[in-house]
Amino acid sequence: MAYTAWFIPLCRIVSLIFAAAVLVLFIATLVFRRRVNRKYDRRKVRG
Amino acid sequence: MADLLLVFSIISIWAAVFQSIVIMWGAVRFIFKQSRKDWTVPGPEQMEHFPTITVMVPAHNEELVIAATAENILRLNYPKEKVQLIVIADNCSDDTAGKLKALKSKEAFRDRDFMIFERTGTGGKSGALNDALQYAKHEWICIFDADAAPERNALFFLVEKAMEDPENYGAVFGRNKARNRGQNLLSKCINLELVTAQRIYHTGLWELFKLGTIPGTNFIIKTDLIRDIGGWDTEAITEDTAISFEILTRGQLIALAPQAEAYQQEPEQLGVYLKQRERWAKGNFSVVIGNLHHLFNRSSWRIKLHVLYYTASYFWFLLAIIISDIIIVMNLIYGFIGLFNPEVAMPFQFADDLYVYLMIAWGLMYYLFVLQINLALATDIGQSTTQNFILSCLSYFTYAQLFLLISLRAFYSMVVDKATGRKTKWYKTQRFEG
Repeated sequence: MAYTAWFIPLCRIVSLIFAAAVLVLFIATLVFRRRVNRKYDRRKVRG
Repeated sequence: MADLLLVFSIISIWAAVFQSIVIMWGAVRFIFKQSRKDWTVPGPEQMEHFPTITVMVPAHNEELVIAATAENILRLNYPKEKVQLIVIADNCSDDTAGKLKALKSKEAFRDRDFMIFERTGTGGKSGALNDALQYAKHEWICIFDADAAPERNALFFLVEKAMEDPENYGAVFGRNKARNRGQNLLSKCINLELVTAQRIYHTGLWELFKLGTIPGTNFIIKTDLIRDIGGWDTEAITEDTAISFEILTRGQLIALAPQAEAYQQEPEQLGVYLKQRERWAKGNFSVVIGNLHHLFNRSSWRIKLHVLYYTASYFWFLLAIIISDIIIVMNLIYGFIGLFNPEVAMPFQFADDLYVYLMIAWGLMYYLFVLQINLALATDIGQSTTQNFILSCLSYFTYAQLFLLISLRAFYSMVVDKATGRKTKWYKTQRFEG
């Protein structure tokens, strides 16, 4: 049996898991960035 | 053979992606925890219980910057009577000592414990620090480079962190920022690298594994510990990495104090940058090889992980990048030629969809690279700009690829040193006025 018979399914699983993890990290980055912008955006400070 | 190389590249890139995901996860946790903390800084009168500190600054021909650095240190928010400052004018042929004497004679600093140590000897920075160590009389030693501009509370934050667990924290390090980050394209790229290393890699490794590496500047170390280690290694080119392994070997931790910030000058010319980084890479190669034995003996899991992290970064991933770059570039070139001459085939032909999975792995790596930089930039107020975002996307193909060139040159130089018994010359990074 060619090694690709098991290596390609492995590639699919690993790629999917990594893509999901990267997506979570991407969302966490956006959430943090939004929080910082809300806290330090001087245009929103009045008076 | 081509398939074997491809499988090796894919698995190696997976390992690099996995490492990046884990570290970034740690960094995210750290950053969210930090953002909830309320930082209050007491005045010197409220630091009666704080330990005494000897600040040492090695300076070799630093007349351009040394007076400003020493003045910054003397004005730190820390009880005056608890600070001893030793500036080592090391083999200076310029007016470094003169500038320091002029500063010391100022009314504001006459009563300070401020020693100007004019030294002639060998060993570069390590030799200078070792010679000054005999004059250190306090509990902790703090090191600043001659171009450092510590933020007013930097020393307070370093010591405050040390006092959280004085039994186990052998050293504490802060963050260094590029003071000339907007000077030109090179300093902008160095700034991105510095911010990412300090705000993602340092925080992630500390948060998850309590692992740290002291930088060459802006850190404190227990005086007894550094004396026990035998001082700084004059043979090591990157004395900071060498010391870090020594500290971990003794079961002590190197803690991160993220609020302790100091500004430093980064190279503004490519030649200066390449020389500096080649020295670092060569030094780190030597330290990693010298510590490989920890992987196979009864050392703690923490030091094994530290060695593994360095080995993977400097050897394994590097080799994988070289191989995958060769595969992609060669196929691209031959593919382009094939457009005009259909008889020319790509040199690397792969079974089924394997090539696609190499591209997916590489794409994830690239995405993470950009994501890490932008998370780091978001944590540093004023740095999350459109210009920096564009630069982060482009730097993978330009600035980051210099790492390959630097590593290969450093590796070659190290092999030549070992083969011929050549001694490595210590090289001081060139400074700029301003």
